[in-house]
Amino acid sequence: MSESEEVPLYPLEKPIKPPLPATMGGIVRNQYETGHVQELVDYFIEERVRIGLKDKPPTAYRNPEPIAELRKIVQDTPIAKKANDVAKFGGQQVKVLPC
Amino acid sequence: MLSEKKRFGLFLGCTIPSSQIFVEKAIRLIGQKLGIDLIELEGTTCCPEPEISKTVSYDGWLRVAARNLSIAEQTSNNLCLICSGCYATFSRANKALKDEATLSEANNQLQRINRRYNHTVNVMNVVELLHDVVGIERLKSHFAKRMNKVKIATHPGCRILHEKDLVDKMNAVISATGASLLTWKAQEMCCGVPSMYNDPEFALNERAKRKVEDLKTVAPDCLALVCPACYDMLEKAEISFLDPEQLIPIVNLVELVALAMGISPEEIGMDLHRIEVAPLMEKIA
Repeated sequence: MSESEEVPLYPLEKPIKPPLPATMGGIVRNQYETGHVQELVDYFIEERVRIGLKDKPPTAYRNPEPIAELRKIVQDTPIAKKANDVAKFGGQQVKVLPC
Repeated sequence: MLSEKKRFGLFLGCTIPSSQIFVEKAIRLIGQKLGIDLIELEGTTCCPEPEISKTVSYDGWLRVAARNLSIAEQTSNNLCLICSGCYATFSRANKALKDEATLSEANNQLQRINRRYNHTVNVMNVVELLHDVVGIERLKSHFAKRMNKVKIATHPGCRILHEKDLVDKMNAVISATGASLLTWKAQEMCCGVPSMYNDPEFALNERAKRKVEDLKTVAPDCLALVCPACYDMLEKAEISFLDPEQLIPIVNLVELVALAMGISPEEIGMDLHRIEVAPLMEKIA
């Protein structure tokens, strides 16, 4: 797949050379393992119900199938490799906790 | 303009449903009041986020975006984004997928998971939904509260800023509430989030701190924005760098619209804001 012509808004944008900065590793790993960049923790599940929302949105937060599909379509890209490298060699999963 | 109930796929993203749930609640309440069908998109994942994923693997980023677009396409040809990051991803991915060869290759990949994207989705920022689809006059007819005493500073954020018409539309929606808009020196400065991945010291001290210190000089009743990443960064920056008595409430545009419609902050869940919104509520009649 060829990279499409970029809007000249980001002329300095370029692929990141390995290794990934530590700050990025957790994001990539989260996406690959959970389908989202940040976890939906119990506190916010309860708060969602409290304010009248469903406990979990019908996304990868609720079901595992989207995660399996995501992994399948990125398995031959650097996203899968880097996510596995982060899991193997370090890089904590990113959690957002209430202040 | 909205003449009958219109259907919009509502893409929630990651940050809003997992921590800024008041934004999700606000848009759902607004949709009910305005008769807009905001449809749940089942099975979506991260958009994927436009900074890291795209630079790690452009192909991987585009495939995941195409997958999410194919899900949206099954429910509606209109996709509403309430997160600026998701909007950046989908608007750029949809533009890339306009190319036949790129779309064909994406569909080759999606075929592995029995999906297909036909490129019929119209990607729309929530600002466009409110301004273009609902319309200013119709919005005004739903505003039950008067905000003439409210002074609002805006932070458009980088994703919106480079589309001047989106900034104008955001301002028009806010002005429709009756509130007055303040200009401030650091208004168009990035909040610092993208720099956090590379240089947190720079992001915090040269962007976030400078921004909130300039913000306090214009003394707004609130700071209005549309991006959840900016919200998180600036809220934390205020708490870190300003004195408690100087804290300025930060509200998402959809929360502001919901408040103007007479929806209570309790119903929206605004008690979950780290900076209390009570000072703002005192100004709303």
